[in-house]
Amino acid sequence: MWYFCMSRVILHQKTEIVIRACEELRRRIIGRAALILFADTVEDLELLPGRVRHLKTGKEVPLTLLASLMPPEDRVCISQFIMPVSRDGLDTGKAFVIGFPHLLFSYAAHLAAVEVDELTGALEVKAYFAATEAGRVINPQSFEQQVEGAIAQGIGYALHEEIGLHRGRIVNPDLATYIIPTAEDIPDITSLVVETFETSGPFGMKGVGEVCINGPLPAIAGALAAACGVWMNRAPLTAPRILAAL
Amino acid sequence: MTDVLAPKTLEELWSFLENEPEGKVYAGGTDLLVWRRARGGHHGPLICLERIDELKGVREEPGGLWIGAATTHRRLLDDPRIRDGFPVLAQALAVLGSPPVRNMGTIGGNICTASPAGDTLPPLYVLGAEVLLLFRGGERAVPVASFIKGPGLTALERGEIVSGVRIRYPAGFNRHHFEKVGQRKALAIAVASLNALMAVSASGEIEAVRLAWGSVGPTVVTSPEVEAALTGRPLCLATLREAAALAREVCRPIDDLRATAAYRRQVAGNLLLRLGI
Amino acid sequence: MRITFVLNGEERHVECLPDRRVVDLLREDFGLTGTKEACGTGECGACTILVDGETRLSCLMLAAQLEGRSVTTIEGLGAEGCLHPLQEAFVQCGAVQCGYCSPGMILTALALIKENPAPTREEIRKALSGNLCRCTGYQKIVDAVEEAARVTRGGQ
Repeated sequence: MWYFCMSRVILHQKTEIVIRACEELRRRIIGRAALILFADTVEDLELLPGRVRHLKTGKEVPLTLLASLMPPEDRVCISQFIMPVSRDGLDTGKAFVIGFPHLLFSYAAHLAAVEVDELTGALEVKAYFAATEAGRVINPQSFEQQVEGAIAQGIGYALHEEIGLHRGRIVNPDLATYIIPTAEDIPDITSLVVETFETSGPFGMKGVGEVCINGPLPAIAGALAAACGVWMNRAPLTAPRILAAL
Repeated sequence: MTDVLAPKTLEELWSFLENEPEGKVYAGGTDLLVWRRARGGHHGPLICLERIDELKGVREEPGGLWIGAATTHRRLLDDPRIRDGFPVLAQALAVLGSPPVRNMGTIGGNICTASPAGDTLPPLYVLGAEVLLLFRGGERAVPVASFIKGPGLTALERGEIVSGVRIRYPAGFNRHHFEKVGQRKALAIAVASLNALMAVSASGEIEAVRLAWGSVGPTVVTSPEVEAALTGRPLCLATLREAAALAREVCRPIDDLRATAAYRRQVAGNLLLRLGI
Repeated sequence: MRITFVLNGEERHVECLPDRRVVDLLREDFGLTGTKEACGTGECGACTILVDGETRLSCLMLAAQLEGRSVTTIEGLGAEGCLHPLQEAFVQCGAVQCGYCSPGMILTALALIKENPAPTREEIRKALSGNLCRCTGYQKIVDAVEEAARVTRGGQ
C-alpha cells in the first residue's frame, strides 16, 4: 500500500523543495536589483513578470539584465527538504528506519452503484461518487482530472485488469489482451472536494495523485456484496469469478 | 518490399490473382494486416479489394438482400434495410470491434477470417446465409455453415474470392435476439454469444426457433436438438432451463486467455434464459 | 510507388513503398507527428485519422490505399492561435492530460459532430469507444465534446 502513496509524498516533498529554492532565488534577484536601482531597502522592490520594479520611483530592471550581472553559481539554487514522519517509537521496521511511517495522508470516500448480470457474472458500474480531501486545492480542474483519471484506472483494476503468466511469461502483453476500460466502461463520476489546509504542506496542499485509485475495488466489491451477497477477495472481479461465486 | 495491388475492376483482380499465387486478398485490413504484422513471415503481394465497386453495396433481391463482400460494417449499420429487416445482424454489427474498425472492416473479411469469435457469423448462420464465391468465368454459392470449416479455415479455393453474401428475410419470426458477452463494452472479442430467431404465438408457445452460438466452439454452434427441445413448448424459464442444460452439452468451448471452457459452457446455457425475460 | 492524395486540404504527391503504413508515412515522411501509434494493431485508436471524412486507423492502412483520397490529420484542424472549437473545448475543459490520445479523440469527435450535431453523453461515449485513454477517465473528454457540439450548433 505504501507504494501507492509514494508519488503523493514525493509531490509534497518536491513542491516544498521547489518553493524553498524559489524563495532563495527571489531573495538574490531582489538583492541584486536593490544594488542596481540604488534602493535603500528591499522592502520597496517588487518582483513582477520579467522584471523588478522599485515602487517609489517606478524604475524597473529586467530579469535578463540582472541575470547577466550574476555569476553562474548565483543563478542556481539548490534546496532540500525532509518529509515529516511519525516520531513514535515503533516495535517493527527497525532494520530500515528512514522515511517511515508517513505522517501525512490524503483521504477519500467512494460510493459505487453497480449492476450485476446474474446470467453472465458481468458487473457494470452505473454511477460513481467520490469525496476527496487532499489539503488545499490550488487548481480545481487539475484536482478533478486526478480524481477522475485515478477512478477510471481503479475501475480497470477492479474489473478487468490482470497480468496472465504462463511459465514466467506474460500472456497478455498488449492492449488487445490486457483489458483497460473504454469510454463505455466508465460512468460519469461525481467528484466532491473536501478542502482543508495542511499546515506542513506546500501552500497548504497534500497530494491528490493517486489516493482515488484505491477506492474503486473495495467500493465495487462492497456494492457487489450488497447486491448479491457474495464477498469476493480476489481482484479483478471478472465475470467468470463473479458467476462462479453467485 | 511488398507490392500492394488495388484493382478497380474484377478483370484486373483476376489477372492479379493468376499472376500472384502468393498474393493475399484483403479489404479493410483489420484482420489481415494485424495477422501479417504478428506473423512477420508473409512477403507475397497484398491485393486490396476496397475499390472494386461490384463487390460493394446492398441490393434487394426477391425475399432478401445481397450484400457485397467489400461492404464495410458501417455501411451496413447505416442501411435501414439491414436495421429493419435483419435485427440480429444489425445488433451484432453494432458491437463489433469499435467505430473505426467498423468503418474499415467488411462482412466478406469477417467471413474469410473465420474466427470462432467473428461477430457477424452467428447472425449469418441463424439467417441461413449463402456465401457467394466468384472466380474468373463463374460463381458458386455455399451455405455459410459449409463454407466455414474450422478456425481460420474456409472452403475458398485458389483463384476465388468471396464476392457477397445472400440473406433471406427471416419471415415468420417475431423475436430477434442477439447477445454478445465480452470482457468490456467495446473493443472486445466475444467470449460467448447467442443469436436467436423465434416465432412465438400469442399464447406464448414457441412455434419455431433457430439458434446459433458464437465463441463456444471451433466454429459457430447450431443445434437441432436444442431447437427441438424448445419447439412447441411454452416460452418460460422452465422450458429454457431444460434447453440450457442441453445447450451446455452440445457446445465445444476451449480455454483461452479470455475465458475458460467452463465459463463459456455455463454462459452458453444461461444466455438462453435471457429469451424468457 | 507514386501516390497522389489530398492531405489537410492540399494535394500531395509522394514516392514511397506501397506497403508503407499510413501512420509511418504521416509521421516520418510528412513530419506530421500529431498522429500517434500506441498498439499498432487497431486496438487503441491513437492513430486515428479521417479519410474522406470517416475515421480510420492509420496503423492498419497501407500507403497504396491513399491514392485519390482526402486525409485529415489533427494538424489539419485550426492553426496556431486560432484553435478549432473542439481543440478549444479540449483545452478549456481539461480533456488533455498527457495528450497522447487527444488527436485521435478530437478527430473522432469531429466526425461525430458533423453527423450528429447534438449527441448525448452516451452517444459520445459510444463514438469514442475505439479510442483508449488512461489519464482522464474519459469524463472531461465527454464534457469537451458536448461543449464543442454546443458551440458548433451556435451556442444553444
